[in-house]
Amino acid sequence: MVYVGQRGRRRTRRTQGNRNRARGRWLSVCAWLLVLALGFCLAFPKTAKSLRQKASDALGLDIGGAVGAFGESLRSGENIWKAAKGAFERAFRADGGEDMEVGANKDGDMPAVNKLGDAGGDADGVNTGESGITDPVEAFRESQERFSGLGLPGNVSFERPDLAELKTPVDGTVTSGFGYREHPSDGIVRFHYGIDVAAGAGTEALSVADGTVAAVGDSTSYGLYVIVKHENGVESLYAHLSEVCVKNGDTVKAGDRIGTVGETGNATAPCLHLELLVNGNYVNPGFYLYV
Amino acid sequence: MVYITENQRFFGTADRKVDITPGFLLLAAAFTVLAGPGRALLALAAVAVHELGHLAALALCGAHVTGLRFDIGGGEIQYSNTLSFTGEALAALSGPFAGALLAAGALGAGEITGQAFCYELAGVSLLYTFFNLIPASATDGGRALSALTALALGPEASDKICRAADILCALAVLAGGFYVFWVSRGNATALICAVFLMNACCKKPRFGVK
Repeated sequence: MVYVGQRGRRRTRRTQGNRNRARGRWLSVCAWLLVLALGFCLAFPKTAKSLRQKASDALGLDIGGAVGAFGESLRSGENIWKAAKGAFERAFRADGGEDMEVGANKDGDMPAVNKLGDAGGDADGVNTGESGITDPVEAFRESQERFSGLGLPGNVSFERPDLAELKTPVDGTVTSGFGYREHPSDGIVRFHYGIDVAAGAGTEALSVADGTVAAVGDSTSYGLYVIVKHENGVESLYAHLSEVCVKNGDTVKAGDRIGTVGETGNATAPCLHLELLVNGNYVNPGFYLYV
Repeated sequence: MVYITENQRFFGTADRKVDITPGFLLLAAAFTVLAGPGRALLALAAVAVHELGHLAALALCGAHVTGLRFDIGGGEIQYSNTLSFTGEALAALSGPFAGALLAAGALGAGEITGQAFCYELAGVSLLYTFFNLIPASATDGGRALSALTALALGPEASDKICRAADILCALAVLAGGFYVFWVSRGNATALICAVFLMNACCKKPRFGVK
């Protein structure tokens, strides 16, 4: 109903004032929500990370993972459109449609982020054959036989290229091997691009061979990581570190300390996640180490 | 100076107003929780540089900026005087251009330092730029399309082209949402986001540059 005259004008002003006060209240509530969210994430980072994962699972939305994956794709020089497509698929958990991890970059020299590939501390164990075959290559292949229908992700090789002897990077036990595995927490099949070696927090992580530090970074999945480039197209990645003691461009020798074992990133217990690339293809570090 | 006007602008000086909506703050809080405070900050930096690009172009074109509004769709700059079609196109494209420059700079910094956050900043900035270049009415791409087609073919033809672009974009976004819904085996969030995006894309801009 429309009021005319003095009384009407007062009513309009009062309504306007009420509306503005209501808007002001909403603004305050939302501002406080933002401050609380920020404060909570900064004060309790581990709890926040775990809540983030749960919210992400519940909503089917992984914004952090998508941003991380896009960043990694850009780093490895992947085509921008492909990287953007991968990021959108990752955001809505649509990568592969079979709950498989985003594949590694085909022509990059830096690996993609493993979203769930390296939850250290699970008791998956090393992939060994069931028939008691002792050759590590044959044993590994036999263990992967039941996943043969899934095909190999991009930039992965099940071969064992000839490499010079590698130094053990950390004293510990391999708790998660290379290749396909059913994740112990949800039974979903995922590809694990490296090995997880459980060790005490603060244990020294050593370079497996002589080389040059190519990258030092921090990501949602890997946590603190170091990439070392060796001779003959070999690269090694060390993730979930609590500390890094090298920087980009440093020269390291086999057995040199590059950091300390931690549980940064999506690790659930202190462990070293080690990946090995030969000419851009992920190979099984278990063929050369902890045999 | 804080005051409340008929237009519900909440605070600012007499002739320049900054409006932050509850929706923007909620979105920021949700982003902080879902992606982490670090990435939320990167997203804020990308939006800020994008808007600074617009402001710089508007200043060059002699526009009188009267307000800045942050809502759930991003930032909106309000200006009082009319720009030429060329000026409008320049003002609309300057934001995405600034975003692309930020991405290039962040990539370069990433190459030098090897730090992951540089690449993530580049990624966030590129994603925001891509989104804004969608040729729908409410985005910078749509405004640029409107201005450029008006310059080339006249306002009436430009209107028709922009309406057609709106429909095509809405359909493409919806199709994308259904595709992701199917590939992700029933992730309803994808469809909801697509509907929201479709609505945001086709909303007529209220005033000024988005």
